[in-house]
Amino acid sequence: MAKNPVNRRLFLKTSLLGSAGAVLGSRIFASPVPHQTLKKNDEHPVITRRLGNTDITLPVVSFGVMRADNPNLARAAMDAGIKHFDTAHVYQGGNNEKMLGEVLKDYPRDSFTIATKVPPEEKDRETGHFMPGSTKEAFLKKLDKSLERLKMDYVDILYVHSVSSRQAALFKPMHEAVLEAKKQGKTRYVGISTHKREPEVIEAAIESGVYEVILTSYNFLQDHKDKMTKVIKKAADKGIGIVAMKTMAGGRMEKKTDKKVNYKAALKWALLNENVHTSIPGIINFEQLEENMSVMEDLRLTPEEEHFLYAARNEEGLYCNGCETCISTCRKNIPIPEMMRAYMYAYGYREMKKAKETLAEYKVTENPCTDCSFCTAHCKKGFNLSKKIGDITRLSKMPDDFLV
Amino acid sequence: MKRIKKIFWVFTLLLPISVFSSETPTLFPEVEGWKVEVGDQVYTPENLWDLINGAADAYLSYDFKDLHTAEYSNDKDQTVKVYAFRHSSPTNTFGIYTQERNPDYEFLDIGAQGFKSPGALYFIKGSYYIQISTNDKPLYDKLEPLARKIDESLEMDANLPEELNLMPSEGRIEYSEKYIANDFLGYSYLHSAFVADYKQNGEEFQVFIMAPEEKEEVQTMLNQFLDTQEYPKDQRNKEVYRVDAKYIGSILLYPSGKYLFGIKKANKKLEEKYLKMLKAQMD
Repeated sequence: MAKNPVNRRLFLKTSLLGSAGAVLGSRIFASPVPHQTLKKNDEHPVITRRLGNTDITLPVVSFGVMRADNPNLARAAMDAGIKHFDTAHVYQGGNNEKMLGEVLKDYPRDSFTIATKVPPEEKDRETGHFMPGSTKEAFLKKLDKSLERLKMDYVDILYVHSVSSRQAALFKPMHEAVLEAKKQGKTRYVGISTHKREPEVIEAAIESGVYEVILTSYNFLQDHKDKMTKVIKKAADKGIGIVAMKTMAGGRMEKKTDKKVNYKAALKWALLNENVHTSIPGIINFEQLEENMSVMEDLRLTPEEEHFLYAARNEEGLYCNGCETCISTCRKNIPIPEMMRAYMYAYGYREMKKAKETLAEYKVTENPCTDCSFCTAHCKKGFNLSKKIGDITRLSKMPDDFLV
Repeated sequence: MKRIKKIFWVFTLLLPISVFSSETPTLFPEVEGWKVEVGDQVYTPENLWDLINGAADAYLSYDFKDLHTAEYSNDKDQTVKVYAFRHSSPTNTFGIYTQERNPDYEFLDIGAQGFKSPGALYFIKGSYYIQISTNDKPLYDKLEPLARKIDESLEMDANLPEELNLMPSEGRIEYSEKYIANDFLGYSYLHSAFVADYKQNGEEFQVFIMAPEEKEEVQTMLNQFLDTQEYPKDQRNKEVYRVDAKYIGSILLYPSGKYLFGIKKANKKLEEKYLKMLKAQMD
């Protein structure tokens, strides 16, 4: 783990309080070693990692630019020491790239890196396969539009956006397109982004021999996180740069609940894997920026964060991911995901009233499984569905007075 | 050529017929000569990512509720896709629409407002943000008639948020108005705001209006912002506040009733001129 003695404390003390921040103009390419010392008294220098075999070394926290309405935040992030900005051709109809171009034109081009994602023209949403209409020419035309919006001659990383199948990762016209873009000097490195069927996609990306950087979902709530950790290592060992996204897993511990993810714990969980070279959390306000700064310089988990991750591991067996594949396998069309949610409220969070309300919402007052001699319903996570439904529906008989 | 004419008439003479139940607004009217296939999948906040990837975050920040889709196809197998995004309120719908809109587009008088580019047309009405697109070039000029039929069948309010009427019209750049749903200026406590770009004598600046649900919030937000900017506590009994905020620049703040008005990055002369206009609006 390389460490870069750039002082973030200075930013934390000054940026939100009105005095001058620490403007960084350092060159960040070809620099796997510390590149600039700003100020003295660095208790916790910024942690940087080299992005695979590229010549880019970055702080472990970068900026996922989610919104186009706040250029001030991007400026503050630059001044705070964030070096890498991630946008996409399609974000806000192109306004995201435009905003970023407007901000970054005021900084030396070698003081930051930027990645954009360009989607193929045609994709089968079910299979994730790229279709014949996804031509090299159409892709390159979109890239030119992105560069025009960014007011730049080149990006540092060009991703094929949202690759979600092996076929798509091995799709030749996209290989030709990104390699052509690189040959023309419109990008320094090429990669793919993926947030679906990631292990399969990453394996194929390695096999392709084309992609140098992979932007992937990676978080502590993924069912396949062990598989992810392995395949990320495999890619990193091959010299591929790994950028993590969706580290917050959507921000909630479970769909339709208000139990929030501990932001810093989740981000640190991903970054404690040293094969993850940087991350791109979405930052929408100064408070979040400040939190990110602190993660950037110290990945140690606080007791509270450790407790959060420990509890999440223990509760994991209760989580229904809402994939809904069980529904079609149940002869009685029981709303199984909702029953599993009620089960989690009761057995995971001890929120009995909420569990009962969920049952009532779906009009489940009796165990709907009693008149089935055998259960056809199948859960991808291996839940014993009829047992859990039997257990949770008992709650519907419980008088409200007994429920906290 | 004959074929194209036929398609044109099919589009223009169609009768809207509901393909939804009577409780649901008619999002996808049937069109004679065209087959409309309503998508089985309804996207919700939980799975919008599956369809539009990282772009979903912006939609979620504007309280996205659901998305219905449909595909119109003709006998040549040419297709038009229609996406109907529903948000929690017309204001939020306006907000996400303005995130994707750009003053350079060709605007249309459709729904509350709309615009088009080759192969795509977007408009808002009520809580719906309708996006229509095709990859088939012969259909480019058929998008507008189809959009108008959808507009007709959506029986709901077609007005833009009324707060926009409080913004001075002089110098306002047309189609620059935006609604920011949260974290305005990068501060979570500043909630939402309506913003518009202005240009006067070569000077570019912004006017914004924050309209919180409770009148008391105006003072709370103002105080929090002044605290952040270290504005002296003993000078907080003013009608108007001038702040030079880091990363944001100069801001003039004017609390009035249930609104907190602001003028950003304007010179003193323009600040005074526009403050006068804002005050006049409140009289």
